[in-house]
Amino acid sequence: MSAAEAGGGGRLGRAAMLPALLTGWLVLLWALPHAGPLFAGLAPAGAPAVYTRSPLLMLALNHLLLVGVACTIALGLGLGTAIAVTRGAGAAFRPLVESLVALGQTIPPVAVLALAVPMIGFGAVPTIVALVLYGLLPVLQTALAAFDGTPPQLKEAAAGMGLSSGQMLRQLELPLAAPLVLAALRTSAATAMGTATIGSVVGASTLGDPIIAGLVGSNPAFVVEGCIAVAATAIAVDAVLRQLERASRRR
Amino acid sequence: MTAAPAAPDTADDARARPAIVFEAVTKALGGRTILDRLDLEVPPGRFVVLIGPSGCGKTTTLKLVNRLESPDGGRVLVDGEDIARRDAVELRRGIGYVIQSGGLFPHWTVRDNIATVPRLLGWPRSRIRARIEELVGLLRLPADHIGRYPHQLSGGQQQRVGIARALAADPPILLMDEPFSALDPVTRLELQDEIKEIQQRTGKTVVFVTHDVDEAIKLATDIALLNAGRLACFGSPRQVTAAQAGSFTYDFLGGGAIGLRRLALEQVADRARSPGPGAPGRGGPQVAADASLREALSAMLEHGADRLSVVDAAGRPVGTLGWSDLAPR
Repeated sequence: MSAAEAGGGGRLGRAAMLPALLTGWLVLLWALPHAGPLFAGLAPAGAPAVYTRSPLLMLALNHLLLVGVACTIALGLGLGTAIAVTRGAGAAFRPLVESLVALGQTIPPVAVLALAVPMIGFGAVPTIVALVLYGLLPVLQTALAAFDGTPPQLKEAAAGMGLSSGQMLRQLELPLAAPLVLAALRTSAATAMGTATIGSVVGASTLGDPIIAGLVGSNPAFVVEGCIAVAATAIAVDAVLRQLERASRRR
Repeated sequence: MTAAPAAPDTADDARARPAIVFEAVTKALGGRTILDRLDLEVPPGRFVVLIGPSGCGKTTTLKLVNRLESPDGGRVLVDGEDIARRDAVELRRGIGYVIQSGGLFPHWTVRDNIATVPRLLGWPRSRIRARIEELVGLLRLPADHIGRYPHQLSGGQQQRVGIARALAADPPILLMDEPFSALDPVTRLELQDEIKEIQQRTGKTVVFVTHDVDEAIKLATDIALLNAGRLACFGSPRQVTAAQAGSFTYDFLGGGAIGLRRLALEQVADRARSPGPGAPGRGGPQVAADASLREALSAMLEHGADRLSVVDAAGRPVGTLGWSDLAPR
C-alpha cells in the first residue's frame, strides 16, 4: 500500500506540473509585449522592439483555434477513414486511401496555401485545409496500425461472447487504439503549431503575424518574439496532449 | 476419480433432444478439408472432450457451435434448432466461450470482464453485481482482485476470470478451447478439478477441446476422438480406452501406455480388500481410498512394495491393495 501511496504522491506532483506550465505560458505571452528593452538590440534603429499591432494573447488563441480545429478534423477524418477501410467492403479502398494521404503529405504547405487561396479565398480556411492535410497521415497510419494490431484472440473472444461489430469497435478496438492515436495526434499537433504560422501569409491571424511582419519589415526583434511565443505555445499544447494520452493509457 | 455419473436429466424431452448436433458437417479452410461429413451428437449435461491429432478439426468443430465458423455443408443444431437460421450475436450470448490464455480485455478490470455478457444482455446493475460476487466465490478468486486488471493476475487467475466470464450469464452450454494448455502443471490440475466439479454441480453441457489425453480422460463423461475430419470414436473414457490394439484410437490414446490410462479411471476403494492377517503394519506404505489405481501403482513402484495399506480421508486403515488387485477384472 505504501508503494501505491508513494506512486500517488508522484502522480500528484506530475498533476501539479501542468497547471504550473500553463500559468507560465500565460505569463510569458502577457510579458513579451512589455519586454521591449530585452529585444531593443535586435530591432533596427528607430523601429519598435516588440509587436503591438494586435495583442499576443489574442494571436495565440487564434493560433490555437486554427490548430485545434485542424487537429479535430484530422482526428475525425483519419480515424473515420481507418475504421472504414479496416472492415467489410471498405477494405478494397485501403491501398488507394493510404497512397492518397501519403501523397498529400508530400505537397509543401506553402504550395497548399497558394493553391487553396484562389479557390477558397484568404483567411483561416485555407490554413486549416493545409493543416488537416498534414495532420491526417500520422493519425490515419497509426490508427490503421493499431486496428491491425488488435490481438486476434481478443477479437475472437469478443465475437464469441456476442459483441456486435459496432460493440467490438467501441468497447475493444477504439479503447486499445486510443493511446497510440493520441500519441500520433500529438505529433500532428506539434507540426501544425509550426505550420500554422505560415497562415499569416494568407491573412489568417496567428502567432505568425509578428514573424511575417518582422521578415517583411526586416525587424529580427519581431521574428524572435514570434518564435518564442510559438515555441512556448507548442510546449503547452504538447503538455496537455501528453496528459490526455497518459489518461487514455491508464489501465 | 471414477468416471462421473451422467448428470440427472430433469425431463424426458431433455434426454430425447441432444444439446448440440452435427449433421454431416463439411468444412474446408484455405483449400484443405478440415471436417469431412462429421456426425456428432452431444447429449445435454455431458462433459464432452474433443481430442485428436493437430489439424484434425477439433477447434473448428467447436467454433461451428457458436458460428465463429460456418459449415460448407451439413448443419449444426443447438437445442434442436439449425443455428444457421439464428442471429449469430444472440446465439453467442447464450453460449459460454473460453479460449486459451483467457482472451480477457486488457483495458477492463476483472469485474468488467466478468460482466461482459450480462451487460450486453442488459441486466440491471444489482443483478450483475450479485452474479459477479457469486462467480468470484465459485472460481475461488480473491475478493480484492475484482478491481484489478488482467495483467496484474497470474495465468491461472486469468483463466479463472475467463471461465467466470463465460459462466456469467448462466449459459446452458460452455465451449472451452484448450483452456488450460498454457498453464503450469500444478495450476492445470487444480483448474481441471474445479471445472469438473462446476460442471457436475451445474449440469451444464461442456464441449472441451484439448490435445492432452490425460486431461481428456480425467474430465470427460464422453470422449470424441477426431481423425482427419471424422469421428474416429465416441464413448466414455472406459469405452474408448478399451480400444483394440492396432486401431487408431488405441494408438492415439497411448498405445503401449494405454494400460496406465485405464488404471487412471479406476479407484482404489473399488479394488481394496478388507484388512486381513497379512496386512502391512501402520508404518507401511499407504494409499488413499479415493486415489486412482494409477496413483496406487506409482506408490508401489516408489516404495518397492507389492501391497499397500488403504486409508480413508481421516488416515484410518480401511483395507489393503495388492499388486494382483491392479489387473483388469
